[in-house]
Amino acid sequence: MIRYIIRRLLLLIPVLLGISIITFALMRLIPGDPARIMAGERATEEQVQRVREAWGLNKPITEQYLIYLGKVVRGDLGRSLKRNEDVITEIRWALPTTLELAFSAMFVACLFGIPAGILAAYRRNSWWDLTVMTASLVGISMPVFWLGLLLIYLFALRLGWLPPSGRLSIGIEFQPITGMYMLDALLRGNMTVFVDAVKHMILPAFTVGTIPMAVIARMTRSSLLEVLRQDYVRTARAKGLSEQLVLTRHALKNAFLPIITVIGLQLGSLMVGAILTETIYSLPGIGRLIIDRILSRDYPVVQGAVLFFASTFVIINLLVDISYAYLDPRIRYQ
Amino acid sequence: MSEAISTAALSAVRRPTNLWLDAWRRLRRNKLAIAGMVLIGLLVLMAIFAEQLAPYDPYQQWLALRKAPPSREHLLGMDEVGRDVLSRVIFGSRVSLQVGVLSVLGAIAAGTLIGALAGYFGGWFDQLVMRLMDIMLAFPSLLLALTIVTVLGPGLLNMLYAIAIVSVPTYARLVRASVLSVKEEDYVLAARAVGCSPARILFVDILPNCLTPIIVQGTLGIGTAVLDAAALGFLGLGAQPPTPEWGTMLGRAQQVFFSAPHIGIFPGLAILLSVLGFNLLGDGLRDALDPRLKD
Repeated sequence: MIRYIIRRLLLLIPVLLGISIITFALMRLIPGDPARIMAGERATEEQVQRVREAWGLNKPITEQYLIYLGKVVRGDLGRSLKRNEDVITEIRWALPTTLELAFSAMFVACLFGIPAGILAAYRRNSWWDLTVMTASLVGISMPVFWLGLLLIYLFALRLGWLPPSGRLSIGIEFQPITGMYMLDALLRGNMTVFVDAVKHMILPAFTVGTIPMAVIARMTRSSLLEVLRQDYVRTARAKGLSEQLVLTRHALKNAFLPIITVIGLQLGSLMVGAILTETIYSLPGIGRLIIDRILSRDYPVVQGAVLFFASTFVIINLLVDISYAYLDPRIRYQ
Repeated sequence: MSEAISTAALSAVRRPTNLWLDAWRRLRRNKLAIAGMVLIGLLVLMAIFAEQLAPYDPYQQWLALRKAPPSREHLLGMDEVGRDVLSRVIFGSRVSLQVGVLSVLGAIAAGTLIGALAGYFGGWFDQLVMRLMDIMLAFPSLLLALTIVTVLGPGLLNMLYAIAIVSVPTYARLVRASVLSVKEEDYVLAARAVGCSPARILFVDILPNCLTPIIVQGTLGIGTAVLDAAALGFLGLGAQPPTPEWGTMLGRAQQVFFSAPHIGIFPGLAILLSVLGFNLLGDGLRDALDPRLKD
């Protein structure tokens, strides 16, 4: 197991370097003088010169990359143009929102996707199976941004059940700890804030969670169908176990491995969903940060946020692979 | 004589057939795949006959009718600057279909070439190219497309390039895997023994074997491309107004969505149904072309 982890960690290095080369190239490929792009359109000649010095922009390109890499490793992603802040600080502000959204979306996706899939497999070819499969087909094809707008229209404006945007109601005073409001409210034992934060998160979580939910439901169904066909399930039934025991103790345990993988694979969809959903619901997360700053040409922030987002994606994927190898020893020896 | 009998006997059991006919027979029995084909068929017809089908010019504005709800004259209502929504949705099918098909064809062409060369020649070239593909796959597709659009600037054509580039690695991997699996087959060895050139072996003997996975992946890929294009348009980074593109229309409708939801509902529905069509057909094709994968 240790050897497997070490090998995978070593394989991670070239991928991370590759990502950094792409984000480095991003800044160099935008037409214009990189120093001016990084200093901003309104910067004085002197400021531009200072950026040029700091990032070695008059040196050969390979040296420029090494300087960039050195700074990135030390957590220096440059300065934001729109706000007078370090890029890393802006990312740190935005991260908790995105994390909270991603966790909530995954929670919703599993909460509804797994039981729906189990029931569909267990009642194969029933109207329930048909409904779940049709709904998941539609869910997989769903334009996330459209779904978000429809949910706001229906549940916030028409029915008035949930707030249309933001993270907390106006007028609520709250001192965050981690920046994830639901968690912070629990830590502070403030139930009013907790309920308010949950209410604000429900619509965004369903918006981001719909596609993963559909994929998880499909995977659960096909994985469980596969297992229910196995001899040991027949044996379990033959020795007179109740259907419930057969399902929970024998079938589900083995059906869960592919489901866990597919949950891990939904990470990309979660991140893409976050980019679109944060824009719709005015949530100040990393996705919204990227879009905002692309539109306002704040390229240092775009560069830093893309680097951060892609690296996180790769690292979490690795963790998923490792946990999968832990659960299924055959994988380690491939 | 005996040969004639055996042929007759055989045809009584099963008509002579080939891979494609077989696949078509399986596809025809798949109701969901048929539904997908109907959706795609409607989309294609809408794109071809947009001029005849659209009741109005998609660019013409009636300022007095801004945000007007659906009526008998304007079946889907008017948008935020007074254009006929139905006409714009119909013309939008052209943009979505073009972006979807062209970007996938481009990605298939580039991906096939890269994957085939990497798989056939192996060695350092294979290592280098496939590591590059891994790095590209390390990005969530929309994030990489966003990055490319940032460099190229917003716009319809740049969006098309971005979506094509993003999907190249998928096809490169697919083709490389297929090439590796048939490279050592006896008929390839035979071709090499009789002195065929590497190019001939690659394109005539090996590549046709990769056709079925490419067809399946390409069909599903068009759906993804349509969705990504709409997402970029929605974010204001794809097709620019006044181009009638579904995602862009939805992005523009965002501000007025809650006072005039019809402006956003129909372009979104069009995206959903198109993507659904390609997903249904893609799934059906996979089951039909490779029955082993069916659950």
